Amino acid sequence: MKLVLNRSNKNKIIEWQERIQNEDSEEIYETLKELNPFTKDNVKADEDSSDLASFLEAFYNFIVTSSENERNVIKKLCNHVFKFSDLILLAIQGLNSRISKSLSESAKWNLYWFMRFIPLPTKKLYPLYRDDYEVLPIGSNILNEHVQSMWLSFTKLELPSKLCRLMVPFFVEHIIDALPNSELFGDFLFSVFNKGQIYSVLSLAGIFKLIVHRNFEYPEFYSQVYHLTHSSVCYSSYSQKFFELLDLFLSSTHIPSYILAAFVKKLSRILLQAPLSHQFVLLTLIRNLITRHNVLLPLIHRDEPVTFTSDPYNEEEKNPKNSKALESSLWELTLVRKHWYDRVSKKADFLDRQAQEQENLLIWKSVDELFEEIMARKFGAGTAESTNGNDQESNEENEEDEIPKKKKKKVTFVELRSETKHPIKDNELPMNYIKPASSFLRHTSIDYKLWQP
Amino acid sequence: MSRAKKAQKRKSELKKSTSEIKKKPINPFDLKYMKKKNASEPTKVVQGTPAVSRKRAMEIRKQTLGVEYQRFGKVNQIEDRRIGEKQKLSEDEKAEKRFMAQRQQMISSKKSRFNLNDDEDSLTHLGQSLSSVAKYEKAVDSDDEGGLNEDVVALANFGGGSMTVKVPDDEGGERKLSRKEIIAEVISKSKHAKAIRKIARDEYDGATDRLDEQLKNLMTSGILHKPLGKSDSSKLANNDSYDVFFREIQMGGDQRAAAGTPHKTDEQKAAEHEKIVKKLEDDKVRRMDPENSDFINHESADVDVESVEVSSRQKRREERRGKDDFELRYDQSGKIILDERSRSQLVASDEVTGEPTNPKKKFLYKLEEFDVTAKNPTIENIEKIGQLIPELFSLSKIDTDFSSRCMRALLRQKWKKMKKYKHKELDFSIVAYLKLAADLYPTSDRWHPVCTPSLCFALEVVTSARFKNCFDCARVLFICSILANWVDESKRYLPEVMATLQGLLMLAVKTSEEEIFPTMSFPITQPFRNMLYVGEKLEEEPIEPLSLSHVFNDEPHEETTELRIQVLRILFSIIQKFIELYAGHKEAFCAIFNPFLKLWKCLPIENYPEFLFDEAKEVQNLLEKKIEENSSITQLKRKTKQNIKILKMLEPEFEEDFDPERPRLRKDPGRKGSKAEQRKLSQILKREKRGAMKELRLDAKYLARVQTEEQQKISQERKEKTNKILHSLQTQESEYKKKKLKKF
Repeated sequence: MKLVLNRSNKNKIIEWQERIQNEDSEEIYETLKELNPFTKDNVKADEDSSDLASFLEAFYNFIVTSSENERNVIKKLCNHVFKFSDLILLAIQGLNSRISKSLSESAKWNLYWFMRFIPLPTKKLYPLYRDDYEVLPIGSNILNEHVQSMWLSFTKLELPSKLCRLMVPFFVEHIIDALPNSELFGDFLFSVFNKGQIYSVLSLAGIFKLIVHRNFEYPEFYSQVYHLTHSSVCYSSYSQKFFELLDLFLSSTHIPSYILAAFVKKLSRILLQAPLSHQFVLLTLIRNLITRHNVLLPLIHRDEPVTFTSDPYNEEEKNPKNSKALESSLWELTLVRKHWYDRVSKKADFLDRQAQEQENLLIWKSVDELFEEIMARKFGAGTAESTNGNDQESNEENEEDEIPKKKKKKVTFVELRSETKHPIKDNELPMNYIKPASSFLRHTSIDYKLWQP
Repeated sequence: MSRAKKAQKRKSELKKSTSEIKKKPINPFDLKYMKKKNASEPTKVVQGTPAVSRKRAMEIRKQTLGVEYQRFGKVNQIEDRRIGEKQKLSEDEKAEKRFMAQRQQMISSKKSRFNLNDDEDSLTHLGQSLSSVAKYEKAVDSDDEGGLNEDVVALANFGGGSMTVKVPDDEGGERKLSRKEIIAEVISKSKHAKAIRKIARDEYDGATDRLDEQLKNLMTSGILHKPLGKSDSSKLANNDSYDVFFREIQMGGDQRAAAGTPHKTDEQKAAEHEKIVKKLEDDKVRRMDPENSDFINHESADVDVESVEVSSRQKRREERRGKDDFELRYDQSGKIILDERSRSQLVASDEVTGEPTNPKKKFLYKLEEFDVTAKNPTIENIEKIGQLIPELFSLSKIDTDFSSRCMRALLRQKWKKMKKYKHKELDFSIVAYLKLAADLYPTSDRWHPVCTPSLCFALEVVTSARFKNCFDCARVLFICSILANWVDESKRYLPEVMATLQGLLMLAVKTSEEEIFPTMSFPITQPFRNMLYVGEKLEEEPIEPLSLSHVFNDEPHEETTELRIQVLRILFSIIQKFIELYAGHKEAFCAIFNPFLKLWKCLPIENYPEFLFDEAKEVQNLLEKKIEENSSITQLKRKTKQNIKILKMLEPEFEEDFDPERPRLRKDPGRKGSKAEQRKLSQILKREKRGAMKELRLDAKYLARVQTEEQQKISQERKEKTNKILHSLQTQESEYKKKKLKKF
């Protein structure tokens, strides 16, 4: 695998560098297309290969020495130039030798952007040049190996935290599956995981992939995840990902019941501090877990802990084994019935009902969607005309619940008429009947002591 | 199906007619036998006569389907109504019969009933009576009447010899006219009369034509048009005045006296007011109740609690009235003047700025003013906002629907803005909006078109806020205090607020790095992590209430320990408020507040100034007390169905109406009841269906046979005819050839 390229030319390097800086990647592509570095025509090939070598040299320099985060330039280059297998291979080979600990932060960023924007390893690529002497090795496997080695050396660097936060999800989602030896990244993922907080969540999916596909052993995996499960996750941007993963982790039927119980208990504690957007999801998740694992059924039907102090559950315990959740119950969920949004409190009714037979989908709704949902409810003059519409809405609500047991009652004509005769009493929009005082801070409330205009 | 039905009908109709055939002695070779397995009975039993019945069926088909087929496509039928033609009779007898029928018809017909001379038979010629024929002849002549003298006519026609008319002669003498002359004269006379008549007719026709023409001209000229409108209006006016007059007489005009409202005493008024307020309050509670419909059930189920609640509610109501009174007094002490002035100012501005007078527009205008003012929270502006609130309240009362829609529109706007500038510092207009919403609408409702979305919005504001300094804390705390009042009555649980409060409390405590804040909005790095921590003992200083205008100002501020103390004080009071609020939620009180208590114990109270120390201690005591009180847990209980299986009894069972023929009739429920009946019927139906299908098949077969027969008949005929023609042609040809041969 030795690449025979003529030596680069200094003047040409400078020229190329300028062109790269000027972001005329399309023109670069046009010029590169004209080259024929690996043909039998010796004279031309010599010149052309030195041209190509100087371009690559210029590119390496651009990546490594640039003092700025050149995301757009690199993206353009990757879109136009580095979409051919031979060029990518050459670039990776060159860059690989240049990755060292002494790289600047912007260089790391640029490297990341390069790796981010070149086509995914799963994509089929074609070479740009005709290769008469088979100078370059062929085959996607070899390219993937190169990509892997580049990622390996890159992940061994000390990465800035922001870059890490961007890179890990991308790497876990798109790259790791395609690499031939993904187990090599175990160290990296664990080190990210140990950073805690958001990093743990980001690397969780990767670790799980390693455990499932590469037979990794990670003792105390569940206790680590248990430790991560905290109410603050609900307020973070990666919460959806986390809870989906959690759902995945807990889907196995071979998990010991104490772990399951600890998770369910923890989730119900989280529910007490979770924002609106998570209330539905967490409730569904708890419900699904109970449906999935019958061992959890005692948790929602128990007499034992009568007082808070006698509740054996230890919230601060990090190991789910010692949390004694299995001996406790999910009494916290009673509070959800007092939730300010009536649909949440309605949703919590499943606790009283018979255990359902099927699991439900986790439906993620953003706060915006929920807000729109709240705003969309009919009121005032609209309600009288569209009582049916409201019915539909409630039916929709039921859909995500189990299969509705009762069929929709048929309304006879007589009933309809009788309904229209007695319009709904709450039609009128309720208002306060006491006129508010004409001051912003009320004199009687405690606020007045603490605030002043 | 219809065909099958027809076949059925046919069958039944013809059964009688074919019974004769049945009676014929049956050929023993036609019989069909069935072997019996039981030896006790004769081995061969006659089952039927298939050949005979097949033949009979064929005959029936011929009589019914065959006839139908023959008539197929023929719409009309020829009915032979001739009398006596069908029987074999002689001509005389036929005539006699016809005559009889005619006479009978005549007698029976209505016309002849009152005919007096029915004895006489009028003579006829060609079917018409001779008298009518005579009349007709007379009528033919009547065209030229009048012209001739009667005697002349008589003379001319029935002259009978002497036709002597004496005419005065030219020379004075008389001479006899010859017959020829007479006739010529007659003719000339009649011609003359005709000519005169024709002229008269022409004249008449011309006159009518002329008149028509004139009329037409008049019509087009428009002179004939009546002035319709004038006459009508006058008529109407008449009517109107009449109606008015009539009404005046009947009803006494427009001066109608309205029923006077009885003058009420103050006590009555107060009682009425009380009644209304009570009703409103009850409505509010009903709306707050999650099980809206069974409000009454709830009452009966838990009378004690309810009565306590009711009494407390009444107390609150009284308090509220007291508050109103209090404010009134306060007004009297000086503010009322300001109010007056502001009102007059407003009136003035009405006139000057052209403020809309339409209450809807006015509300919108004021709301905009409110929002704009709130964006710049100076002390004066906050005062102004306070004054705008009751104004907006009374304006929104006029059209609640419209005003709520305005509020929702504003809310939507605010939501969008918040989403656009996420993590931006809290705007005072948001706070003002929330305050306004809480003042205008009942926040305790389970669902309210303005309050619920506003609450959602407020909570989103709380959760998306980022705590970078004490001012951020103060801002969020102010919203929290509004929200605390929001759920004052409904006591609904706000998880977002509780998480934020817990996080804020954590800021006031020196925590280890490992401890995680309940939400993401708190800083993790060190100097900010304990931003509310009071490190050193403070000097005793009187602490002013925190200024809203100061807090919500965009200018950068200096953070002082005093500010920290102020914020802490607010935090403590809000937590206290929530403790009191959620004390009702016995089932999970500890789960919410136990973390608070843990944090509370770590608070550096010793460094607090004395009043804050006292307050913190007070809240801590309250918390401990409440946790102890509410430590009981309400366990979840799932309703479980229990299916109790009954043991099988081994006692004998007696059947009273046991039928040995059908021993399982009672035991097997499938053999009895409507279902069994249904099954039986369905079997019959199946059988019948099969029969009908067979019948149809045979019908089709029969028809096909008839058709092929017809076809064959026709082709046979054609063949014969062509043969015939060919034959004749051949003979001709041969004859022709013969002739030819003969010639030469």
